[in-house]
Amino acid sequence: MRLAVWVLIGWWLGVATVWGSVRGQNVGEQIAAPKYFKPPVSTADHSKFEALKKDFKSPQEVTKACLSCHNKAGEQFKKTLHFTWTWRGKDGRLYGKAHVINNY
Amino acid sequence: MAQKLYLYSRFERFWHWSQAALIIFLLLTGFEIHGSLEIFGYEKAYLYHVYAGVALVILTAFAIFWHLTTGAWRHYWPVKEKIPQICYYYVIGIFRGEPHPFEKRPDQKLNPLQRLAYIFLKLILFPLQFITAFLLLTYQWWSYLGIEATFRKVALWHTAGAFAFLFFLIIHTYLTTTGRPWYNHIRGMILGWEEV
Amino acid sequence: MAVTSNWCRCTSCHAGYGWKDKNFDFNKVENIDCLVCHDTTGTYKKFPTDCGYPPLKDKVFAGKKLFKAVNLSFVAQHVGPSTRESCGKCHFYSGGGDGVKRGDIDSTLIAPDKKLDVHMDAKGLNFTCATCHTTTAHEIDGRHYDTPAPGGLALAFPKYEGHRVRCESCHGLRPHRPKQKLFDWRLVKLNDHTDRVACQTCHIPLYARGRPTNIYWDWSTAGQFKDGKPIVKMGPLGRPVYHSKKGTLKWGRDLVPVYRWYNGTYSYILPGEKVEAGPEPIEIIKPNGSPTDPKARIFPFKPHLGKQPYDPVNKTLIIPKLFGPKGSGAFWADHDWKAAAAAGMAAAGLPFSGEVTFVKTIYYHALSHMVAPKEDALKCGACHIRKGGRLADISGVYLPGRDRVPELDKIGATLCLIALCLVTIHGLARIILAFKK
Repeated sequence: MRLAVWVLIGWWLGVATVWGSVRGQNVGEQIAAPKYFKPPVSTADHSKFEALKKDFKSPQEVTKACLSCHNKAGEQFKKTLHFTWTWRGKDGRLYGKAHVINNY
Repeated sequence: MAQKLYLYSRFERFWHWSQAALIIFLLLTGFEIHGSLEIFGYEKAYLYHVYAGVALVILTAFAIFWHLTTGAWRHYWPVKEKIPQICYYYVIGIFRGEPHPFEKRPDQKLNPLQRLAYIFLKLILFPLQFITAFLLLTYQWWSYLGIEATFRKVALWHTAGAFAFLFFLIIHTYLTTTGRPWYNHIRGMILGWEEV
Repeated sequence: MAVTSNWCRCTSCHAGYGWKDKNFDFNKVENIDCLVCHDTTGTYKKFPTDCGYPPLKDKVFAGKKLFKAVNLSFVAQHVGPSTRESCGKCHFYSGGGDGVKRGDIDSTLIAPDKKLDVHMDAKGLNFTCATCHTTTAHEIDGRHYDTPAPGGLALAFPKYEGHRVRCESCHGLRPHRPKQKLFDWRLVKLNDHTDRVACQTCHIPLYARGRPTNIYWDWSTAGQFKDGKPIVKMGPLGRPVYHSKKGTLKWGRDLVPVYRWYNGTYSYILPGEKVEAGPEPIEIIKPNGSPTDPKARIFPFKPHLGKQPYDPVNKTLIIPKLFGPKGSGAFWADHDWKAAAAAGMAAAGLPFSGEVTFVKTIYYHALSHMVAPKEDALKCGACHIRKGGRLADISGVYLPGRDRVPELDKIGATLCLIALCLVTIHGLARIILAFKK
């Protein structure tokens, strides 16, 4: 009976040691940082577009050229905070860079 | 006249000493979490406190099982006899070399004062600490469990319980030295055999 | 200060061209600046005082810095998604210089290491701004004035429209996970914190870890000259501590944030709104939230103290005209606060009494960027400590280690002490008696 108990204890100690050393190795392994958020590879080479092969005299001409293909971008962008610098608050007040004051 | 009695079985001794160690450790780590001490650092103090607490719960579960199955719980049943005599003994009699008014026997190991103290410990203090500890650990479930409490109040009761344990520990430790010779009770709790 | 009356200087960071007064036409889509965000060459820059226009021929700014002419065709033929550099052209330099305003965003984020920013780590995850600031049809996610960042307390599942701008959008509400195991007891309590503590609180232990940031700006001392020449006194951090145009400035690096309850929305005092000036700084831009607000969590902030012009009669903050030619009233040309205030308030269509005093103001910046590696995150003891912890000023929560009920501690300690005295006396008496015998 005693012998059986000792054998069992020894067996479990052995298993625990082996298991621990195996896991220890895993922990030590360096996992290369995953590049989760690679930007999508572009499906267009903008240098090949005729609309852009021009000698632009003003930046507005560039914008017009952009919008000649991206024909919804102008309507989208002109409503955004980056363009309006205006934010209508839930309390009716006007926020946004164009309306607030700070101490810088 | 010295007679040796086997009073404390192996499990009882194991239970007593591991409980003692756990409670002292819980007091140290607990008062560190409370901000009164600085020993392990807060993070370790917290983790050790929880581990020790869980260990104490497991130990207590075994102890309850043991007390119920062996009938040892009867030792804690409060009795009225001899309480004034024992109080007299500790205030005056002990200095005059009078004998202890209570005689230890295997079927009544604890004197009436001990019975009162220990049953208070078992029925009030331990449950108080276990319940408040469980609540503190699971405060995010309170709204689901329908418990209306504030973290502050529960923490207050847990701290009060800790002070009660500390108070008990001081008195208890001292009283263990009142045997004859002074280490008699302590030796009994270690070896199981006590001279009476 | 404010954009109004200072257009051409301020709108050099406007994603558009020619916003030079209040009559700018926001419906003319050709005035949109596509290139400032979509340039991938790094050669497109807007001139600092040209109302948003890039330099079309070589130009010098402030007598020192050369801005090379932009080759529009070259830039237009090399457009692509936004990069850290393209967003940073404006956002790194807000407040008028590198890292001046934000404290958690500056030019070191162009190619940061892991220590500075775990997500943007150029050799690691290499996030761009848009990785988190998810964008749909040019609408970029973020906290906008009184509107919290989208995504709620939810994962970035399709049903939440893929908003990914909050930490919990990717990391979830129980973010600490063991590497090799399914479950780790040690992380349970850390994860419990997320109900009341924002991720940023522990994981942005310090701010201004890249460049120094401005922490104090006293405009009232601006306009002093030495022998008719402007004064620029540099401080130890390589930033001016006095500047004739700007006043007295203070800078800091590796600073400890202040902590406030924050529900994701902000309050503003707008120009023209009445505000009393007291001994405490006026909180012109401050986070909303309280411990009883279930959406509020403890969050780190950079406080920016300032002293700025104020109309003591109308009790309003003054928009001063800073930028403009001589004779326009602009402070940087004419050095007269009253004239600057009159010109600025007139441009804004707001009343001005003619009186100018200076009031102390404070502006809180929420810190969400430059997330440090986990080994640099705050340890428990940074807050769970009796005195001097990071959250010493936060009320409304019971913080173990900081808080206690002093009466209980006193009673408990007294009782234990009495017990200790009694047993000591009792024991001594026994020992003495034993020796007597």
